[in-house]
Amino acid sequence: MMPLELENIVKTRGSGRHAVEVLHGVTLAVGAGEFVLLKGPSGSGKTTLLAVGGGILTPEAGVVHIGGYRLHERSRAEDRRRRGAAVGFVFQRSNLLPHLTVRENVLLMGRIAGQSAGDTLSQAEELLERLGLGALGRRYPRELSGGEEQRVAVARALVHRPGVILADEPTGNLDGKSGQAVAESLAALARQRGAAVVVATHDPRIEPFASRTIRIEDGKILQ
Amino acid sequence: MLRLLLKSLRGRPIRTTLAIAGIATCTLLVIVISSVLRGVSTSMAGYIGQEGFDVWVTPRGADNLIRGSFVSFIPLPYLDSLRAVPGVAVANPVLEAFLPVSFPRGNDPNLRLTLITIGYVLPHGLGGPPVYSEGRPPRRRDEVALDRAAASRFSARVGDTLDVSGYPEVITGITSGTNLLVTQFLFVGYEAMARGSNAQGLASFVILRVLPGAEGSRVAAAVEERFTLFHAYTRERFLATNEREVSSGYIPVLALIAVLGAGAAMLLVGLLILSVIDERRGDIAVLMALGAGTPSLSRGILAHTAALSAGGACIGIALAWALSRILDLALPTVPMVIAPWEVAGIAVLFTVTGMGAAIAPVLRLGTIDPLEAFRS
Repeated sequence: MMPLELENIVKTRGSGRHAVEVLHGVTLAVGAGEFVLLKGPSGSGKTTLLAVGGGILTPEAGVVHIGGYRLHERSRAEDRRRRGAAVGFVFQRSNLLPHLTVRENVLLMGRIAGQSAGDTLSQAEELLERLGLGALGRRYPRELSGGEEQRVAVARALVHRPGVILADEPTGNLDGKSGQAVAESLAALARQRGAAVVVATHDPRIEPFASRTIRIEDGKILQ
Repeated sequence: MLRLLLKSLRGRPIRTTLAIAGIATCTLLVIVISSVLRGVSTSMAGYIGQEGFDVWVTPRGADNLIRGSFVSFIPLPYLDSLRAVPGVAVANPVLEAFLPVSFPRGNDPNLRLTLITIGYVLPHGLGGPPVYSEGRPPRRRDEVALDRAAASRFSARVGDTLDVSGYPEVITGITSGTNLLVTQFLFVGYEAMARGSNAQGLASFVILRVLPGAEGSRVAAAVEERFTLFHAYTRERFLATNEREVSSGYIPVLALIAVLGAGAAMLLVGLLILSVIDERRGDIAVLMALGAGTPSLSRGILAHTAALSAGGACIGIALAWALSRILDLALPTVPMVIAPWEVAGIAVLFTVTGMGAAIAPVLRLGTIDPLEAFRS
């Protein structure tokens, strides 16, 4: 079984007369070490697909498997525990918690994922070092540049060794050089760890790292 | 994880400081009221519970010091009969009344205090003050001992002359532990008191000291058996009836203020945490998207409110302690006695009510959509 499998996903947003079907029977499987680009116009359903794939949204129909575990069959607490451990997220904004230092932001993800404190600490130190952030561990997000913040977000997404990494426009707010550095870091670390990566993006700088590109329009996968 | 969650949910410093200050003020308010009541009770116990005040004989209906000054009297000829009761070593009369007292040569000649005035057999008869903080007991009929708080209000010192019901009386001693907040004790000789209150030959109470080995309860029972017009109370029973008289007026007010104080503190904490939740909505959405569950976030919020409430309560306790020391030195008219178990109870009350304030913020978590984390 692949790290991420979605079968015939139907997802509606809104309710009653305002309900809109955002995903129409989407099927997608991403293997270990794959780096999949998800491309499509705004409102095509990219973010909704990531949220369903990451277990944040529950589809009206279809099946989601993360790391072999079928979501939405057991309790919400169990789903949350499993997806927390198996999925890493990178958002368009870094979304670092402003009152936590760089190191604490990364450590918190490990703790949410149920990782031991010692393991989380050694992983965090290693990742921050490899991302060129080793000296910034005690700084707060406000003291970082946009590129540094987003690299911390990459470290946060990887610290618990997830099998699946879902990224939504991770370079969307970054200048050319910073965007390139973040894309390189994400691709290299994910490949090295054998994680399945899905990146929703319009950014052509990420394309060279992709092993596969998928287009989505009006809630349907085209290729 | 809780530590990191707690840190990540921290509010703005000024708002947090103000909320903690508000809780501290509410705690201080409740502790002050409670310790003032305790101070009054302690003064009452300090006077009535003195060594040798074994049995209090009272006219019927006069079961405490307040009522003793209004109801009726014990004629002095009964003293010999009381002394004849088996087990009685000493029987001394005490005459008590609320008398107007002024200090004509003081800073405020117009200030008149109505003091609970105790006339007892000078110089060492039963009924005198428990502790002298300054000076000596009165020895003559024109000498008095005045409570420290009353002396402070008059700005009077040992050697000054008071006007007690129109008679000049010289202060020879300043007493402590004799402040009942609304009034204070003044100790005079029995003779002067009888003259000042036109109650010659009468006693409000008779205090008995029992012989070594004799039991106060047996002596009290024997007195009641022989003298059907009088009641006799052991020291403990008389103290209890006095405390009941004091607390019946204070307890409802104290309880009301405690409830209002705790309620105000709860509102403060609730408002602060709600504002933190609203202000940090985006961060909480991120935490939820990353996999932090509502239970762990709720625990973080509860821990945050508990920390705020407990912090405020601790500061309130420290302020109350400091205030009691300052009042004791600068304004002894407000007696404050801080009882550790009572303070601990108040701290627990404020912490628990503060945590109750977390209910609304915890419910607010349910309105946060983790998808907000994806919005740029």
